[in-house]
Amino acid sequence: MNVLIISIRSSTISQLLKPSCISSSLLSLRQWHNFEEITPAKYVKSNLQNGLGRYVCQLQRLTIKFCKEFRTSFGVRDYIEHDLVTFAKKYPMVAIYLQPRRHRTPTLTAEYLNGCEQNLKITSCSRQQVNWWVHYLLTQQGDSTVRYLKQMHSDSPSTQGIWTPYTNKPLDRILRTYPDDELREIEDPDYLYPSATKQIQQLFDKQQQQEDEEKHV
Amino acid sequence: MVRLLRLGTLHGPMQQPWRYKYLEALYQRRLEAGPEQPRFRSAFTNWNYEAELYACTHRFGENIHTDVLRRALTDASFMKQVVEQRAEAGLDQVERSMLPVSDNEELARRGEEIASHYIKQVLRYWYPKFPEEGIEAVTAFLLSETTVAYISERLGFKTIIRCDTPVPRPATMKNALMAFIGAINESSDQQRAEAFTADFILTHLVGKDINEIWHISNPMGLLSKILEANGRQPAESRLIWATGVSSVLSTYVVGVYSGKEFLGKNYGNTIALAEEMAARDALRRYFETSEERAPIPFDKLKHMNFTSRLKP
Repeated sequence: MNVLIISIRSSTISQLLKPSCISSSLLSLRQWHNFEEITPAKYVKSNLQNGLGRYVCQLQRLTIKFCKEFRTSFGVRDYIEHDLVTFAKKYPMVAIYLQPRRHRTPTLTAEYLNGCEQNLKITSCSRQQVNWWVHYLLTQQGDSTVRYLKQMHSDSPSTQGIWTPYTNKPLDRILRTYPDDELREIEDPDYLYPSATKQIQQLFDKQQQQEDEEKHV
Repeated sequence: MVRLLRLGTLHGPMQQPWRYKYLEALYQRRLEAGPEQPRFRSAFTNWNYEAELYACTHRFGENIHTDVLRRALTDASFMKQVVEQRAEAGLDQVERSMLPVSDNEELARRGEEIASHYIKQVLRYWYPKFPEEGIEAVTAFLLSETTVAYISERLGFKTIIRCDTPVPRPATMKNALMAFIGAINESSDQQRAEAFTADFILTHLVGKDINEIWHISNPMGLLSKILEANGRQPAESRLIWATGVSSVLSTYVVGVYSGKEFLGKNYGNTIALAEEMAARDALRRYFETSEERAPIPFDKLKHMNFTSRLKP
């Protein structure tokens, strides 16, 4: 995160502008240039190459907090009554806890294998909506969802190899006799077969030389 | 920010001065109290160890008996703590040592044995020319305390281990995972224990270069030894290219040859460095462990028969 730095050379003004005296207009000065600088971002990464060997459900334990009386928990109570046992049988890898809390909003607390925890308030959700949210948590990895970065990747690196100063250079240069026209051609492409521009320049130079010689003569 | 902006307004914190002061005081007291001490997960209300163990076996698709799993997740430090507590309570020597569960040392040893044996088998099979010393080094890396403790933590063992500290030590974490492998071996069979090793420990090699894990201190010496043992001509370094010799970004390309046979080449800022890197490249080519080598096929490991292609 960026830190607001205010440098004022004059001593009198700097005494006035102590941190407690900084006006809100100064605090709101933007020190960053684009939104991406200050928003959290990360690369897409699964927990321990999950799915490479075998798939492991990342949801470790699920705590359903609900109220036995309030209307806001009616869907949660319905879900617990009708669907929870089926869910627990279908997904035995999740440890499920029920916590009745009097007169509070119902909450889903999910703890994941990587140590993260997610809390979800499900106030006034119907039975079906609760089911949706539970499955949402079940299929998560548990880490916070932030802006994802691209990670360029290639399973097969370039066949030709990356470019170096020595790419496409002749390998038999030790065996040649110097001066070698072909090597010279690599250094200076106009050497053996000059381009049209170069030819005109050469003609012009030759003409100039001739004129000079004629003058001297 | 909002608080500052609304300070002098009707909707700001000064609307109810007593509430503002009260919350400020609470906030200051929380700061003075300092960070919260780490607690055992089992100290919380929502905790049922039986349910956790049941979930743990099913998480990995293994069928481990609950008693064996309980033993696998019980650290020696926990047993020691229990004995101390009993001594404090005034129990005599006999009652103190009569404990319903034993610790996981034995299972951990067996699990590590299986894992070590299996990892070496796979590496020998997939990198047949890689020397034994290197295979030992890679195995040691995979079974090191840091690596296994990391894997163990990411597999959710951190909260269900029974030990004397709320945050388990790395050695404890490692023992728990190894004991889990031992428990699979005891409850099911060795194939399942090996499959677990392949799926969770061996996959730690993904994205890592095994040539870097095994550090060779004198690559040219090793290359000369290998050539001598194979009855080939000694290794000879030759300068292939050089660019920017008099500049800061000088680059030399050195190739290593055995007679007229090319072994390997690499770059370096100095000739000595380039020569060393070239020797490393030659070794990589010889061991067939270079970057373009196909990775270990983790999905097909369980169908492979390693005993047929084992080295003598």
